Amino acid sequence: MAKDLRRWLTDLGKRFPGEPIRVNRLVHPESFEVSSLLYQLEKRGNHAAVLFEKVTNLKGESSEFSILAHTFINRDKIALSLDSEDSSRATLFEKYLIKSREKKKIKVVDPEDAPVKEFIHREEALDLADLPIMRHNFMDGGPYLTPVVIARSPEGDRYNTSWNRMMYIDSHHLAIYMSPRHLWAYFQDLEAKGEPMPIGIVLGHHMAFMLSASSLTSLDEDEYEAAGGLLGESLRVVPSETYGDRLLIPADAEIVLEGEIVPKKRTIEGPFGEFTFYLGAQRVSWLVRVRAITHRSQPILHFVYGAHLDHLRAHFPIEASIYQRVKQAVPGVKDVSWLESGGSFHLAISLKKRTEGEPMRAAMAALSASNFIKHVFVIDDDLDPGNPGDVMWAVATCVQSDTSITLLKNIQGQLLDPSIRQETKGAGMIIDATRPLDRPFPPRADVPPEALKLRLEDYINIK
Amino acid sequence: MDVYFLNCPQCKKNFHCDANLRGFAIPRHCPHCDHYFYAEEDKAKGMPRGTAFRSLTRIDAETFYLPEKAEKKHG
Repeated sequence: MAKDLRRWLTDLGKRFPGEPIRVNRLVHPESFEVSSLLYQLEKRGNHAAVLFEKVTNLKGESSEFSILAHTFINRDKIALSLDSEDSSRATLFEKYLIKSREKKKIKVVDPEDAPVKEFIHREEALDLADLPIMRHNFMDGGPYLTPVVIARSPEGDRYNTSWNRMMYIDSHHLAIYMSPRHLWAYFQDLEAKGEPMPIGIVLGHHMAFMLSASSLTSLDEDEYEAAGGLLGESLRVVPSETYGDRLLIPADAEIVLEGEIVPKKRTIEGPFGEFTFYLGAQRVSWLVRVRAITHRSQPILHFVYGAHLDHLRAHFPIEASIYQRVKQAVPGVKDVSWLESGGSFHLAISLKKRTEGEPMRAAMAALSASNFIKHVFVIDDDLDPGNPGDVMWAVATCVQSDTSITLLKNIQGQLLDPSIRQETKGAGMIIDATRPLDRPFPPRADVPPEALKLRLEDYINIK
Repeated sequence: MDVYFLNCPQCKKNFHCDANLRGFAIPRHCPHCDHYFYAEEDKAKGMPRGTAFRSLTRIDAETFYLPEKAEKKHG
């Protein structure tokens, strides 16, 4: 049986009994009810995946769809998605990188063998208001989908997958925000010729597929094949209803909206709560016209819960890519932490320093890997970069601001950074918080290792 | 990016927009009451900065899609 979301849920229940939490009381996603419940769970430290089995659509009617969220909220879930028993950060990085290198060619199947084709709603009969689209945060511009968007390069030689937030506008239209990366570049080429860009909007699949869409891949890599690597099997695809072979869509997805990004048309979109935990401003975005909806029976609509931990930690593949780049530049690098570094644009690197200069080189590799990074902290390998306390202790005790900090100007920024003034140009900083090798430095205070052989339980009645 | 706040003429609540849009005849959408409107100072010429405008040569009613419900309300 091909890997799909239902298989992921079965595996989830086996590894974490009691998950997903099933909410069988009717909820209204467009009235922040799903958001409220997810928020309260997160605040209590409960990181279980949640399946809302009874939801209303945007018309207020009971829906045949259910909603799933909190699938990326912690590394345990990422580990499950990657078939890893070990959820420690560095181990997961290595697992992710190995699997993503084992690319697999797609397998094209017939529509009869594609569960996503079980129900088909064509353009004249569809209404996006039939979907239970949630509102995530106050002042969000409207109900928002958080899908994986599929597009084929204009040359037809490569499939691109990406996460793009989409705001509901009306029965057939969505607003799509595109960062100036691959999808945006493809659309630029087509728009210059006055042509629309066909896309598939995937609203649920095995989490390995969904994760693959946030990977940093180069333009010569096919992202369907990369997804196959993460799944551990060829991605099964089927010709779309609207575009046929011109756009192949995942055969085992829960729901796919088929549509196109409209050339020379824009719309107003936002605000939207982003992974920075701030509301990104209302802005002009691009317009999608939906031409078909296909789905399974009892379809499960997957959401990334915007502007909360689920959203931040869904960026794990980017963190893994940064780890790879930094380790290639400086082999003594032990670990990196982006998502647990205390901020959306901070990266902490731990390394076994062999020579002065290595911290800077490692930091520069990280900054060149992703424009999500603007501040890099480099610490010694006896500290945990995922522990902000360790990082701040290193900064407090090893940094002199006139010699340990390098300020950077005019680096490519990240549009979602609320502190940025221009759309893509920002500033950065490298803080070398490692102990110096070129002069004497005090050792850490600690109990002698021999003395630690004493067992506490031999002296104190303690559990 | 720089942002600025404006008030919805219908519900009076405020929300924030990309400051690059300020002064241009671009519709705004109130996230609180779903009202589409044009801000008062739509007199700027040329094109706003931003990647969404890269391929556009003009800004007018043709450029921006507004849902049917908005057509009756805006202006």
